[in-house]
Amino acid sequence: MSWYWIAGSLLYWFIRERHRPNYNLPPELPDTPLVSVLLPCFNESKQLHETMAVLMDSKYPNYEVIAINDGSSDNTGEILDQLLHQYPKLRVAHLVENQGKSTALNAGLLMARADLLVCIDGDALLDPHAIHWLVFRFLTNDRMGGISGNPRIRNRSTLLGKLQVGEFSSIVGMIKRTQALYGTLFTVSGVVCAFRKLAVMEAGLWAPAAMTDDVDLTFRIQAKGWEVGFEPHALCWILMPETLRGLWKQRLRWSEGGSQAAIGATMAILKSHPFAWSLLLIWSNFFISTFWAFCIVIWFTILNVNQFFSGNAYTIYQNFLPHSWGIILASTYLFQSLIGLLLDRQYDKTSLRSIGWMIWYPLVYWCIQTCSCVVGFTQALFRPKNIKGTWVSPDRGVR
Amino acid sequence: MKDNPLSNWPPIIDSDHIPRWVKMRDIFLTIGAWLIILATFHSLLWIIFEYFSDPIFELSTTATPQWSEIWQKVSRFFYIALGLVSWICFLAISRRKIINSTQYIKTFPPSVQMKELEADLGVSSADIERWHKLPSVEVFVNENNRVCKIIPSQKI
Repeated sequence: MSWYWIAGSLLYWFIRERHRPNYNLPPELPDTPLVSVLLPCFNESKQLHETMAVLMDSKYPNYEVIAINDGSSDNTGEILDQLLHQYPKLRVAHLVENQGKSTALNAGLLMARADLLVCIDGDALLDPHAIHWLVFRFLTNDRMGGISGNPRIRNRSTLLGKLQVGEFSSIVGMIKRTQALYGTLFTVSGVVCAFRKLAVMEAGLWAPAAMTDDVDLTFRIQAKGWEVGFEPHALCWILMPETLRGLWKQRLRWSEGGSQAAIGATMAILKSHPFAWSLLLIWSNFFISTFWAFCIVIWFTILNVNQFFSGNAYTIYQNFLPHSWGIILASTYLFQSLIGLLLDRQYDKTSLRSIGWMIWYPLVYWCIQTCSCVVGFTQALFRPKNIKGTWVSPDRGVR
Repeated sequence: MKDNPLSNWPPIIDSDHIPRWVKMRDIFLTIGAWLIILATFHSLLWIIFEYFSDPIFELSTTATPQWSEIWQKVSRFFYIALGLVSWICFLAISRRKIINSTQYIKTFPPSVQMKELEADLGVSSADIERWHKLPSVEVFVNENNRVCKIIPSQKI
């Protein structure tokens, strides 16, 4: 699959990306329709001033910001009320009780005056030109229902932070570029995405029971016949976990939510009319990858347990070092990383520095990914259907 | 950026405030990881080095690897990868105009369709229009997680 992602992302760059100007020189638009930026907040008092100041400095001329305070227990609500006097473009919705991100976004949609919605997280910093790029995509494709922006990692203090810079370029960015070639994505990035309001309403809004609202909605929008694309020029600077515990929790949630959405979308895909072939491709890809993760975990467990009980416990460490196939996979991955970082260099000039840290991916990091995939999928299978998706207080790295 | 609390853009948080020992630990661990990888690659690297050193294109000290045996192991996966790459190339070339679309399309807000969808959600157009005018609101949600009432906020 690695070669598939490499080929796909290079093709995307060759066909589309290389023809576009620098991300801070977006193309002129013939029309600048109103855009509503939805900003769901739950206990964001520490980040809110920063997020709002950057958001209000956007270069796009016609937008409003709707901050949705989802029953925060800190002083997020008071801060938003103060900011209301400072920023005329700001509107605020206070949910009386905490309901989860999906319900917060649904409330924001009902308040939104615009037909185009941009959604970012409460701790994310939207690049001043990002809205412009997202609108450009909607104006040039009337079947485009949703667009994923390009999340870039802000916090690079520790090994895990630096590693994720490379991961977002070499895994997330490359997969999205490849999937965008067939007009389908597994998910828009919930931290920075844009939707046509009509597409969200046709899909039945954000689902409160979804653990990962973004994956779930992406599937449902596509099942309704809308295209979903990737706009690498629409940058958004995000905070990611910098502890192993935080990373594990985040990846487990992503995996469980992704599995829940993929399982839930099965019937919608099969019943889609006209038949959503490209969505079936993404769906099959997900299940094949999950099957592969299960095979790896089962095989590796049996191998180690067998070795342990046959008196070779001291040599178990050797199983964790790459041999033959491991060498092929590791070198292929390092090559993939290099391509991914080179492609993203135009958006993040320092990204290439993280190639040195990427060595951890084939050695350790993919074990975390594989295990979280197995555990997440298993949890999704046994998760009761009516449990609401809740906010998590994420590890936001070392600042 | 006026009013922007961040003086630098892009707003990268680097390791300036991290203790020196943590930085050194990360660097040494990573160098160690590279050495492990290079150690596992050493036979391959040695073959490449020997192949390109004098006498060039010959292996003098190392036994020639069993290429046919290696190819037999790898070929199946090579063909799968080749098939996938060919497929994505075909797809990209056939859809290149859609992928690189830059022609502006004038779309009109689908007001009728939108009103039908609003009705499906159980909200009236009059309510929606009223909510659009409010700068600050309080939102009430029913047991089905549907927004049931929006009133002007009393806090401002």
